[in-house]
Amino acid sequence: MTSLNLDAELWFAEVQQESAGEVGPLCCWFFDCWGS
Amino acid sequence: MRCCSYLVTHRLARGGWIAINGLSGAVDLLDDATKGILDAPPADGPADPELLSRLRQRGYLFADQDEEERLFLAMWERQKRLSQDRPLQFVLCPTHSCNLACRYCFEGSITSRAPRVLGDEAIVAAFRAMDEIAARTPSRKREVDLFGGEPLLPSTLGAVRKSLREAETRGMGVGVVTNGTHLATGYRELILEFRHLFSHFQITVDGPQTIHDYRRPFRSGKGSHGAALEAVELLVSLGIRVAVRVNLDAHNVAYLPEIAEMIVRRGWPEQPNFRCVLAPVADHLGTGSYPALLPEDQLVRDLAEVMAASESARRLFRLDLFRSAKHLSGVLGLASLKGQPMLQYCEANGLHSYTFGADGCIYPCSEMLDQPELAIGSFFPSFEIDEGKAAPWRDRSIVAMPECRSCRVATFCGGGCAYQALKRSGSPMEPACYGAEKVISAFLECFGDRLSPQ
Repeated sequence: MTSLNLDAELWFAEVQQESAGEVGPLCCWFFDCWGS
Repeated sequence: MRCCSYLVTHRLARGGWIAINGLSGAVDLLDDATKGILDAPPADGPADPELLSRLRQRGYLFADQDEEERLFLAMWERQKRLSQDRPLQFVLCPTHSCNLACRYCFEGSITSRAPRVLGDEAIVAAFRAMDEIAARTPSRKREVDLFGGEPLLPSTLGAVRKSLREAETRGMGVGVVTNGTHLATGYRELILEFRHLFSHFQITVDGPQTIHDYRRPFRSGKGSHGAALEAVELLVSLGIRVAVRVNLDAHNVAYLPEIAEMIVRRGWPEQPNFRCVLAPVADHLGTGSYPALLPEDQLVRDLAEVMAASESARRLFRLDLFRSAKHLSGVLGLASLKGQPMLQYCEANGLHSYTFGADGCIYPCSEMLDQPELAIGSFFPSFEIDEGKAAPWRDRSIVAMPECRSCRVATFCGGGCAYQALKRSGSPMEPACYGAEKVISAFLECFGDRLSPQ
């Protein structure tokens, strides 16, 4: 078993790394391409 | 032991499996033996204690259904908290009219009806309504996005100026989705005056000139390519954030390398205030009236082919456009951002976005304009939110839809477009499946060779 992402990035990790992801999906017309 | 209910596995051409866990977000390469454990978990889990520990830690094996359910609900509560960190979005449409006649336009005849432009009184009423809505979540930031129709027309100049002043008074950033055709001419002075206020512009460029002009002509038939590029050029030079959007379908996907080369020649990618976004043309209402529309899984395959043959396209474009594969593409380094579980399809779900139409109505989605019977409220002449109509939008998520709770790709899909569900069944509180699993499979078929440990 080889993990391609870190345990700290898991969605239920108590303290996620900052790089773990941005919040939520995006509207069809207002892409948040800059990052929040 | 039981296996996670939200699990997608895919056999790789080079052997072995990839597992994408929709509950934990784990992405792992598995050998056949480990895949077999997930297919039929032994009552006490695998004999190897280290493997058992890893499979538990990564969210593949649970003691029982209750344990899985607790984690699912904890993830949902966490996502609800995180969603409050994003600004509350108010979309303001000064008009529903547009000066272009794009071949794939979803707004149909409303853009060509007799022009109707919000007056000053209505704009003030819109911002007061935004104040009242925002007061329910006072700690949350808010922003306004100008949309339409086309928001930047000669006839809307006064309405846009008034809107910018109202936004400025409230400290709200302003985004603009525009075709750019009047931006560098009639709107130049206004943009210079309010340049500090704009959070970003989005301008569509659909191809090299002949392709763009065919897809996005003025109503006179003349092409809009030159004006769109001039608008981008101006914003780039002013240091205002501008995203070029490429609406993709069967007609223009092969031209991405030419678009990339054109953009690179202009030097835009070297500027920190410039971005490109790809967006699949979508038919949320299933009209079937646009022949060049591509199913998303086919678009994945076509894009992979184009990208494989063009270094400039590979370097410029990120694959953020596929919602259901967003997490996977983030893990593989193909998207700008790593994804979170998609418990809601878009910001209309949960009412994280309100659209103020030029008809005085408030809609949960910017694709619903000029249908007062579907509005959740009004802002002019008076402000009102119909809680009965708003409730299903506020509550919609995969957690609230039983069919989604039993679907293994639900957390990558988000339940689909609520507007499509509303049109189909009369209620937004129904799933609108769009083949998320096919998209993920196509993605793995095309980009599986990139898989390697971090």
